Amino acid sequence: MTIGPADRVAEDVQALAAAGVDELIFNLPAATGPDQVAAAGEVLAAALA
Amino acid sequence: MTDYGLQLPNFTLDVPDDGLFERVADMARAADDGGFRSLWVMDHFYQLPPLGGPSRPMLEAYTLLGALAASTQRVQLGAMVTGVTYRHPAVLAKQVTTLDVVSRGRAVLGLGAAWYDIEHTGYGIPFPSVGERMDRMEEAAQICRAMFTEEAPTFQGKHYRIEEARNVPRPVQPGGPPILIGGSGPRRTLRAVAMYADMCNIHGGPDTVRRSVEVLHEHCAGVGRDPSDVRVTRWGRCSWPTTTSRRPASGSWWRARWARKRRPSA
Repeated sequence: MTIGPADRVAEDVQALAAAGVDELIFNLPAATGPDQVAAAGEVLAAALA
Repeated sequence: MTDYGLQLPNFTLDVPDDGLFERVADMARAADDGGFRSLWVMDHFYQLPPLGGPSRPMLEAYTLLGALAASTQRVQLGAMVTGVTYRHPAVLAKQVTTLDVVSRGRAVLGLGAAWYDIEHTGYGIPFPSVGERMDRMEEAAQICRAMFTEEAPTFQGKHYRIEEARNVPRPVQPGGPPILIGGSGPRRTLRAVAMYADMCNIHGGPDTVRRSVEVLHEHCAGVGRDPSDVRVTRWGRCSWPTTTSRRPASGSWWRARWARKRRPSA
């Protein structure tokens, strides 16, 4: 579970990337529309840039 | 560079049923435009308990993926993961090939041993032991690979057989859609990845992931395969944005589920 504000999410995904993951696939159970998907994409793009 | 993908598991989206697909398509297009490399749906007939259980909406995976293929331009598309018990693997190969054609080369075959017992019971689908399901998954991977790459393959396994099985039109992607095997089981699942798959999908935090990758590399060495040929993906839930680090209740359901169901052999 990766959860929390954007900076916490960034820490989590960077640690996973460093563990040897080529692609992180996220399940967004709370997303009910495109805006939440777009927001998640912005956070992930910034974290993994 | 680590890529990111999206799984859409929830179809309780506060819209009437006749607007449900358009909402899902809007979310898929947001992923397509938002830099996500891949878009996945679950292959289940009942919604999962953390998302409300069987009384909540669930769309059939490959019907939905075909429609999303026509609604998107860039993202790879697949089921995370296809339960091996639900379809004969030759039919699955045909469905994924069709998805590859419709999407112009963006299909991924996600494959797993299935686990959601109550939907098997409800639909009257046999749900054999985990060992047999693993056996079936391995045979299914071989059949799908053969149907992606050979003109008229024949395969005789313990559970499945095909005879000069035609698959026309051929997949758009050279060599066919990549095959992903889901799961982190160190003895059978990761060995099956090394033997039959192009991608793995593992779970857990950084330390668990690191150990799983090490085990996968050992299996690759054991079967004479370059480990860099296997793309490592990791699945996890993400709740964002929030203002608290409190875990939602569904997290405890999943932890209990996997603690109960995990088998050393898998």
